[in-house]
Amino acid sequence: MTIYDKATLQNVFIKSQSAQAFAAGYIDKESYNRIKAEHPSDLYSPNTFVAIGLGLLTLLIVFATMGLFFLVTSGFHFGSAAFLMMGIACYIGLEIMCSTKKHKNSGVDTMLILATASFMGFGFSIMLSSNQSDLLLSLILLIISLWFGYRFVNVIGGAVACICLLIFIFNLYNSLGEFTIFSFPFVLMAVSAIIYFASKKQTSCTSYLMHHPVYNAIKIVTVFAFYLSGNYYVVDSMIHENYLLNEQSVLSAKWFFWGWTFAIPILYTLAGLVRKDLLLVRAGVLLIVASILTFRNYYKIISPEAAMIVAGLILIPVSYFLMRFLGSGKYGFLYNPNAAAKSKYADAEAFALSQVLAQQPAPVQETNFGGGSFGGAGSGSSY
Amino acid sequence: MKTFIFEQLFQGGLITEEKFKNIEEKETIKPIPLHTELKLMMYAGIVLLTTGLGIVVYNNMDNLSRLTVVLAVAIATVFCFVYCLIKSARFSNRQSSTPTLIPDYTLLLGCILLLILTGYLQFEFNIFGDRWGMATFVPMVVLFVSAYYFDHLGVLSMAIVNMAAWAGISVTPKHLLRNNDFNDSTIIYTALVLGLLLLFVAYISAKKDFKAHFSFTYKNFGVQILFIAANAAIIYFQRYEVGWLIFLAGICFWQFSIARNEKSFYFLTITILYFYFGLSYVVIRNLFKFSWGEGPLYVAFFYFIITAILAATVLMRFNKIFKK
Repeated sequence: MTIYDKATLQNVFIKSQSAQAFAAGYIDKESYNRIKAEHPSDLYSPNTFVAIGLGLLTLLIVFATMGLFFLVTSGFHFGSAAFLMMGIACYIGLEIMCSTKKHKNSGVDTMLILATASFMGFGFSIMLSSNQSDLLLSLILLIISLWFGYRFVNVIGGAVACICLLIFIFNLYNSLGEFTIFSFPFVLMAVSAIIYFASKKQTSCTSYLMHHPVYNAIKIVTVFAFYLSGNYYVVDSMIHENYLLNEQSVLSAKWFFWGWTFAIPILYTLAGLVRKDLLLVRAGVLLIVASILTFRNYYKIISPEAAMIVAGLILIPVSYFLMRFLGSGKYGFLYNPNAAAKSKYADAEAFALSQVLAQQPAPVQETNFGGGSFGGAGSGSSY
Repeated sequence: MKTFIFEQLFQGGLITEEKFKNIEEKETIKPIPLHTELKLMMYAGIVLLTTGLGIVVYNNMDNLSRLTVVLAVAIATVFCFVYCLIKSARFSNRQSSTPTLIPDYTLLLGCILLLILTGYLQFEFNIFGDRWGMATFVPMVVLFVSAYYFDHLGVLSMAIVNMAAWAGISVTPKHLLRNNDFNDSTIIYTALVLGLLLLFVAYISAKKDFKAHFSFTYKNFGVQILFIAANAAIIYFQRYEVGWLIFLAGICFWQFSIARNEKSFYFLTITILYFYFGLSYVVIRNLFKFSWGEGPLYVAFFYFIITAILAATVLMRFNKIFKK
């Protein structure tokens, strides 16, 4: 059912693992070359920059085709049919590119998958534009993304399918009746947890190698979904939108959701550190930020700029301390300034820094001073 | 790394048992690297702190005692630079072999504070008088000196952006289209000269092995500015668009041959895309000079479909050649 040959995908996976082993110095060049020779692949996966270029050109082709198509059919009503037909056209293109030219993560297939899904999604959402159809729409989107995740072994497809499944279950559960208002967060938490453990099991299993990246993407989505289903702000806004029954809602148990908002990120971080799971550590740290922002949304104790200064004053020493503390590698983690400075991303990092930091508030007057606005993260005010 | 893969490889006779055992053992005790995560945290801290300070300084211009602000920021800046001077390694014209952890970030913090300070001093005290250029020129010099002395790529990039600002153009993508009024021949000529100058510096750095690892940063800014300026020239000088298109083709060919020698996929891709943009602009503008109703629209859509396929084919062809 997958469009690529199963053995080829396995070979690609084995080659990437051996490349890592070769880079780490575990195997010598001779064995690495032999492994490469024994595991051939005819997939077309070019360099990242070339893939970005190909993706942009594919997008241009899709837009031009759409323009031409709408121009030719301008007599017709611009309805869902036009979008669905465009979706089908993109899908045919995708099948051809992947089965005959063996494109995989080449930019072309990624863009065509996104285009197909967008056209289809847009077409169906026009077709089903009434309130009762949320359930059906999420089901259709779930099927489409699941298909992409499975057949084209596409990471984005897998992640979107997971999101669609959660929305579908939310809608399905909602449709059961009023009582669901008291329990929907718990259902979403349970579903996220089940999907997480199921995909975790798949990634440790040796027989579905080719879908490992997809399962990893699903794992990332569920880790965040599990937290968000109990996050105070998310629950609050879902209730506002869906029921207008704030008084008797599940939020009457305020303590639980505030507790969840703050405890889960910390638990993630700790669990990640103990079990050496990078995904949990990263998610935990990001979600600590999310929980602080959630709190600020309800209780504004200090002004934004003061909050920024405080955050900076906390983050700088904490990261310094961690760099020193973990640097030794004694606790199962490593910070090596040498590796960090000499990585192949050093140039990109420097470029990114200059884009964020280089234009501090400079005097603006008269003429062509480029740097007339605030460069900092999201401040957006010009002086 | 998944150890079961290597178990399979060992069973298939592709690696020796000794190697497999080694991998299995090393992988179980191997510490997990947190370079990226901790760096991001550090950068986030610096960005938040300096942005917050910047806002406080500007919001309270009237309330705070001017001198307090200047003194506080100045002391912090001086502290950062002095600290770096004490802690950092001696100047070398190569990449410093032992990156120093704290001075790197302290230097970054100091440089940003310096930018805030000069901006404030000019805004509030008008220290450079009407010579506005000085307000960007002075920090630029300090940034360049710091980048070279302390061997810091990030500060070098900041210095180049400030140099461009001093020359009158912004080179951050978010400002490129918004702030740059490319409808002005002076800016276009300035950008062309600046781009060529940066490319020249990149060439010299690599050739003379003087901070050769800075070469890429110079080259990247140089190429981007040059390509954007050439495309802006095509758009602005309508009467000589063909001439400028030939100029663009020339620099594209020049950069392409360099990319080919260096096997750089990045420069290959941007060269093809910038040339395609310039060419398409000229074609489409001339196409719409004709008035055949919807005719030009049809032609334009066909043009994009056919040429984008061609461009993709060219890109794929060269990707293959470069790989060899």
